[in-house]
Amino acid sequence: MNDTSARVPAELTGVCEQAVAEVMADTDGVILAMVATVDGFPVAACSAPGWDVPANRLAAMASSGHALGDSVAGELTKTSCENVIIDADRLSIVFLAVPEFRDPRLLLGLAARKTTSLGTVIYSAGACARRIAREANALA
Amino acid sequence: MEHKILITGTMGAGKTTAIGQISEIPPISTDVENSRRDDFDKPTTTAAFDYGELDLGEGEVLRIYGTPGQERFSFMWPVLARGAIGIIYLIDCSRPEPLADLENFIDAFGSAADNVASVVALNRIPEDQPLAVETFQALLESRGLPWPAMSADVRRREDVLDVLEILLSLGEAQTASMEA
Repeated sequence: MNDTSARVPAELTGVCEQAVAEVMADTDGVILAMVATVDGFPVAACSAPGWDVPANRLAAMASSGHALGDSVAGELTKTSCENVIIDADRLSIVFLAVPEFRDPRLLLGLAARKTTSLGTVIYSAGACARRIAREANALA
Repeated sequence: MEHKILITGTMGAGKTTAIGQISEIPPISTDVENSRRDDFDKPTTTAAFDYGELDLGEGEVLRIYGTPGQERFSFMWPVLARGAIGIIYLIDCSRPEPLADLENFIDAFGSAADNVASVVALNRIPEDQPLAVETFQALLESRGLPWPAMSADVRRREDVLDVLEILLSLGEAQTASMEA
């Protein structure tokens, strides 16, 4: 990994790599699964064949998108943002915070073809994020 | 009437501070936890933008956007520059290579900054660099950029307002020349 990657323990990277690989394998239509630090450094990324995904740029975009969601949620409800959904022409994209893990705070990004329902994408992303939190906390 | 301006510069240059000094609304922040405190000892970093507003009187409002400073967020820079009438390049002169920092930002904005009034504001000028303004002015002239460079301690509201005043004057002159 070069200097644009997150500086996290190898064990945590391993947890994230396994989680993104399995959510891709287990959820139809997913073309990208990625974990990044909340400030936009990629930790782990997995993409479907034929999708050349620039993980560095997407990690930064996930950070910006989620931070903006947080800002809007805070402005309207004084609460934080749970997830940001992007409804694109061909893809549904979800960015959500990995819950209950803070060292460092992590974001999960999942993108899937429109043939997969948005509910499925959100459910899979949530399950994957909770799994990362559980396994990452177990490392401590 | 509303006008949009942009403040850009490296992480920690003072963009958020500058907006906080002059905004008449609570600034909107998209700060997130900085996971690389060993690189830059700052607890948070801007991930999308900062935003503030300043009432200029006579129905004119200035909308002030601060960019994220780190290069990986550079995809936000041209997005934020859309519709801006002016750009403040805020330089932290205590960094190792502030001239290179300025050149990086000039190059990064490229055509997005064409026909946009611009000012270079120099923050944290070390005492042993009394000629910093002249040095930056020479760099701008060497690149054919007719922009002023000026010192500004962005912790001082008056300094930030001085920079804004110059920027807005340049913007008005530029608009007038384009309409002529």
